[in-house]
Amino acid sequence: MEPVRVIPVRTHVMDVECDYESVRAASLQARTFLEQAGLGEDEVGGWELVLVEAANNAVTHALPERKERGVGLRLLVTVELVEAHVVDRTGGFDFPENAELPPDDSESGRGLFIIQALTDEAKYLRGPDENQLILRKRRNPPSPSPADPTPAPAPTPNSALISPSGESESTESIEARQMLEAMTEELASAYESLAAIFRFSAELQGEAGSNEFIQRWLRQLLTMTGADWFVLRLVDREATQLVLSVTSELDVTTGLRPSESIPLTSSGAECRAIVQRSDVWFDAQAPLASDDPLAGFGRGGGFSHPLFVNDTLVGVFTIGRKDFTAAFEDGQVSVIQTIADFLGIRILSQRILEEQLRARVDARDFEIAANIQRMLLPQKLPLLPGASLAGFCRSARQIGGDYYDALVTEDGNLLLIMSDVMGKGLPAALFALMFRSLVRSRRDLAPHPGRFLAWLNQNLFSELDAAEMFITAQLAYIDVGRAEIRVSGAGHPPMLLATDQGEVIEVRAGGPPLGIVEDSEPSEETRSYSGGRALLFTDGLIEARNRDGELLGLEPIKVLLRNAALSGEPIDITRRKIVEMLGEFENAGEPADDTALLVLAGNLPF
Amino acid sequence: MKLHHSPGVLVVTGLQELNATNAASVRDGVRGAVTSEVTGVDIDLSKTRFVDSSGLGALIAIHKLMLARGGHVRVLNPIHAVEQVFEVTRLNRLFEVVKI
Repeated sequence: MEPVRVIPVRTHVMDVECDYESVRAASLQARTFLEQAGLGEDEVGGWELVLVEAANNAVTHALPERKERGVGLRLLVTVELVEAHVVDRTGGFDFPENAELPPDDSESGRGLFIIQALTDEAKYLRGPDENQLILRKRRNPPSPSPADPTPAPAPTPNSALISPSGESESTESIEARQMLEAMTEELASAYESLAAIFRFSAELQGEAGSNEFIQRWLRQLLTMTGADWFVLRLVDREATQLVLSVTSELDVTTGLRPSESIPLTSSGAECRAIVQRSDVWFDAQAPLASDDPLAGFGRGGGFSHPLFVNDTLVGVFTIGRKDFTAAFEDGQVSVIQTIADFLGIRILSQRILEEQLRARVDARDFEIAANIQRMLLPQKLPLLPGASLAGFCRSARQIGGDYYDALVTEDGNLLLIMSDVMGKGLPAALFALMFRSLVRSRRDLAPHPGRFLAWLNQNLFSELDAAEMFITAQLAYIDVGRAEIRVSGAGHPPMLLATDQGEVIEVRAGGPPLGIVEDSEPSEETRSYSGGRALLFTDGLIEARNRDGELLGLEPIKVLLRNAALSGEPIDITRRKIVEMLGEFENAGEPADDTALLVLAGNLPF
Repeated sequence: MKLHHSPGVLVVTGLQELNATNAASVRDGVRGAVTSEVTGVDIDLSKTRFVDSSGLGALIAIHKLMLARGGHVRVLNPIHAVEQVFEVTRLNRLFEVVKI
């Protein structure tokens, strides 16, 4: 590729609201910009008037439904030239080649004449939903001050080659002149591309790579290149699908809309462009296959351009015309390719930024969830005469919503609580916190754990249902006076009760998890409890797996618990044995799930 | 904008700009102040730094009004940039541009 000459350029971009006051304010801003760019007073004044005339026209004739999109004003200044773009959302004007002045007594109709009189070139491009008036004027050469004796500027190489009229030219100089003329023409044709690219780069620096930004630029690209439609697809994170990102406004007459996503293995033009890593063209001679995802669009012609940044696939951009009697010019193709490639880079860097942000948010979530979980667990368990409690909680890779508690009730009895919020992370921790607050607020309901769970379910149902989460829970009320333990569960593993006679009972009464059935009525089971061990736990305990993938299950725990009840060992020993058994079973493997347990030991009455 | 009457002449002063935002109100204000005694309108543009085509439209409306009444309109002391607008649109032929 030939090196591109770098033209120093200044740009000024404004989105102007659709009223005359805003236009006037914007023209004053433009004035300041042009002054700072070094234009003389006459030039600045001329551009100020031209911009007001053009933008006022855009305001006067804006379509009501597009009014809120305002008027776009862009200025570009190089050492040689000033270029202005005025983007209007009108139905489009018939822009005359040479506007004429109206009769002297006409009160309107001078705007276009003024615009043309004060610029060198005025081009009006009509687009599908916006139009652009492109105005250019060469800058005045700096006027020498009267004190400055500098003679007229030295002849440029161009003028040096042109022989004074009347003199014969050598063949060499004719060739050189022709070559130079061709080069000048080439540069002039590339000017549009260069200008567009410079403007694009200038905007990139100041704006996030939002969808809106992409959409705006691609719409402009349609206008600049005389295209009718575009489809931008981006590769998904798994790199298996091309997902529709942005497309031009739909053709209301046909109602065509490209499919939302297509597999990367599709045989359509878009995927072929990616596989070949080169543009795939289609037109009447080489039409798209009938099963091509863009078949409906591609009846005219156009091309798919793959977007790679180094070796990373970003997506594919397809642009076309409804009627392909006129092919894209080389300059237009290079504008399309360059802007699409720039967008590709922008989108990729935006994705990387988003991923970094998400990682930071995840880390923050994790920290908050970990703090909540620390808050959830009781600082110390209540001490009652003749009874002792020991708890344990282990988090797996992420923070979860396991929670246990033991509360002394208003009637001097004891309520044991064990719960597990389905899911992980911050939402699970938040639901565990809600659950804990609700339980603690109504310990008067403790004597009937089934009714207590029904009440908890009513109070949590809508939130759990909306979040598509649920909670399993178990409540055990120890009635000291009656030497009874009353248990109810909500989708929770059974409570194990080991009596000091060596019997181990699974207490399974209850109902569905909280958040599953709106009006559940969990059952209760009452057992006499004069002594021994009671164990409440979450499913992480019995669903622990060893290296062979086998589950720990209930049986080893029942054996352990029976031995503990028979031996009357201290509660801390029982807890330690359970935790050790769990560790040995998993054999230093990765803990699969959160595990919480709460052991009660004692001889009633307390 | 300030309006005052000197014998037979309505003098318009204090216009900082004459553009699409104020053209209609200037036009209507002057129209309303043209009483039967007024045979001429002097529009002082010495403090007016910007005139656009809408502003010119207002001046033409005033001119037409005065023409119909057999009167005349003068534009006084426009700054260089404004004078150029008159020249570009050739309205310097229509208005009497006076520099005092």
